[in-house]
Amino acid sequence: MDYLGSGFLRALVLLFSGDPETYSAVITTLEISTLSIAASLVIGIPGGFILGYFEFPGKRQIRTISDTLLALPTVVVGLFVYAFISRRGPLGDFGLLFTIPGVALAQTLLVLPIVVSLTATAVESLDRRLRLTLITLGANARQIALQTILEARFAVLTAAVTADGRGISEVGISMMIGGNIKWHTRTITTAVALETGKGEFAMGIALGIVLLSLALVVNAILVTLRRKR
Amino acid sequence: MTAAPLYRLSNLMFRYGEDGFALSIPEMDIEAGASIGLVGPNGGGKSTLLKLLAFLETPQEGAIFFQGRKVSGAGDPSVMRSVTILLQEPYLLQATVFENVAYGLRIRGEREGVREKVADVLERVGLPYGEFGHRKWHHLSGGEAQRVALASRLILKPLALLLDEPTASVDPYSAYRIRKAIVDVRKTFKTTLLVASHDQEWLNGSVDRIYKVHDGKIIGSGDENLLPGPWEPGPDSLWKKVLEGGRIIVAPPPPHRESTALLRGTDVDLYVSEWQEKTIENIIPGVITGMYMESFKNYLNIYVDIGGISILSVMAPERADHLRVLPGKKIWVAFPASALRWL
Repeated sequence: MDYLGSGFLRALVLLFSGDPETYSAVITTLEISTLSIAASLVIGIPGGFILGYFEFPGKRQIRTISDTLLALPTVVVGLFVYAFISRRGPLGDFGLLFTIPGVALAQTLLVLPIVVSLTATAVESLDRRLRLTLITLGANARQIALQTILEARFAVLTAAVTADGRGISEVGISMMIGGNIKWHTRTITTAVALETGKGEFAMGIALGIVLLSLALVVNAILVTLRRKR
Repeated sequence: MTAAPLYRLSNLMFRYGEDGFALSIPEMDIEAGASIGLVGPNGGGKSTLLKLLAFLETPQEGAIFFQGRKVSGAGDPSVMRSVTILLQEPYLLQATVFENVAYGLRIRGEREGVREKVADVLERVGLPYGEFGHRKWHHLSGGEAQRVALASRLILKPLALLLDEPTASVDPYSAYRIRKAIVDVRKTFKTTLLVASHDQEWLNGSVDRIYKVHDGKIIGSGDENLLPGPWEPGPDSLWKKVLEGGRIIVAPPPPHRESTALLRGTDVDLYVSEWQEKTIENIIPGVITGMYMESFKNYLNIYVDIGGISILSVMAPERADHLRVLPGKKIWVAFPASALRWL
């Protein structure tokens, strides 16, 4: 088991010496997850709000689909998006395959159901008295909707963090859509998969540490925000 | 020409579901500036009446006129903003006390002097701004939260302020502050008050008039006793209700075994000994459990426990003085069977 110990030491050297290859993967991961989280929040929060707040025909069916997609396998998303954006696909002209925006697009599809379902649940589980209270204070429909989303803010934040966790830790989409191209689309997870396969534990461990630290930081922010509320 | 009352209810009928509970009020006027208490058992219709008056519910039949104008459903924003209701278990926004109280002003686009107004209403409910203004909603006791919810409504200076059981789950100090605040605000702003409460003693000190709401109807002015069934056949073609300890109440034949009888407190006399009087069928021993003065009538309310049920007797203070009534004293309540009315 010596190789693990020495791998860990060399991992620390890679991290603290600012090894460009390691940091390239980190930066790529952050770029992709930032894009996909932003897109999924912009679409998913209003979508989840509509799904949780309003009553309309087909609502239950949409909700069931969204809940089912929570368990969407990354390789299925990868396959589906690949088919669309490959040269032969309907979106082939955009040249998204093996690019950061391409991976971000597929990851957005992956995490969108998380944002939608968790936001809808957050809005649905708000106290019934909230709406009545706002009406009795003289709020109009728009003001009620706005305050409702504000009241659900901590749960929506949790949805964002959960989605982010799913995004940065997935490997299937990054591998299939990004192609694991060094200096370009290689992310933390694809790099770890590759380096481990090559028996290069140091870089794998270094990137693993970064991945765990990222998760820790994001959760620490969430906990702090919750405590401050 | 006299001005239209603040509220006029006409042939009002409201029903939950197909054949659920129904509230029906043939005719009722509430003058601007009135201060009215609603009492009665749970599920009798107090909350429903308040929700109708707050336009949170729409009656299936009849109409509610507000300031002479017929209001159809919830929708007229100017009416909705003239009336506010404090529901039984108020909800506070997940924000500071200041933000909660200022919310109503904020959505009305008011920006000037908000801090001063918030401080003023918080003062009225006994929560100093310096100490409570920046508290978060979850750092308040039940009574404090209730008072913040009340302050959020007082700041709106509504024409009508409706309160549903405002003291149901609060500490005595909060109950006192709530009473003080609403009596105060009515004096200052001529706010019309409607308050539903179980606490008749608290209510007596807070409002000018009391209505009893029972089984979806307004049945009187609050000094009535309600005697629920079951009733069983008794002596001399009369019926009786057996109380704890074998004491009985004699009544005329009821429409149903389970009917409820109404007995006005003014029809109940008290005797210091078991007086024999042929015309009075009911002379029942009991113990005085409480008494208080009605603030708006010069009458004394005396409660006597006669074995599991409490009977209210309303009398002039001179008579009470003559009888030397005191809580804990043994006494006989006396009323003729004919004083009972069936609901």
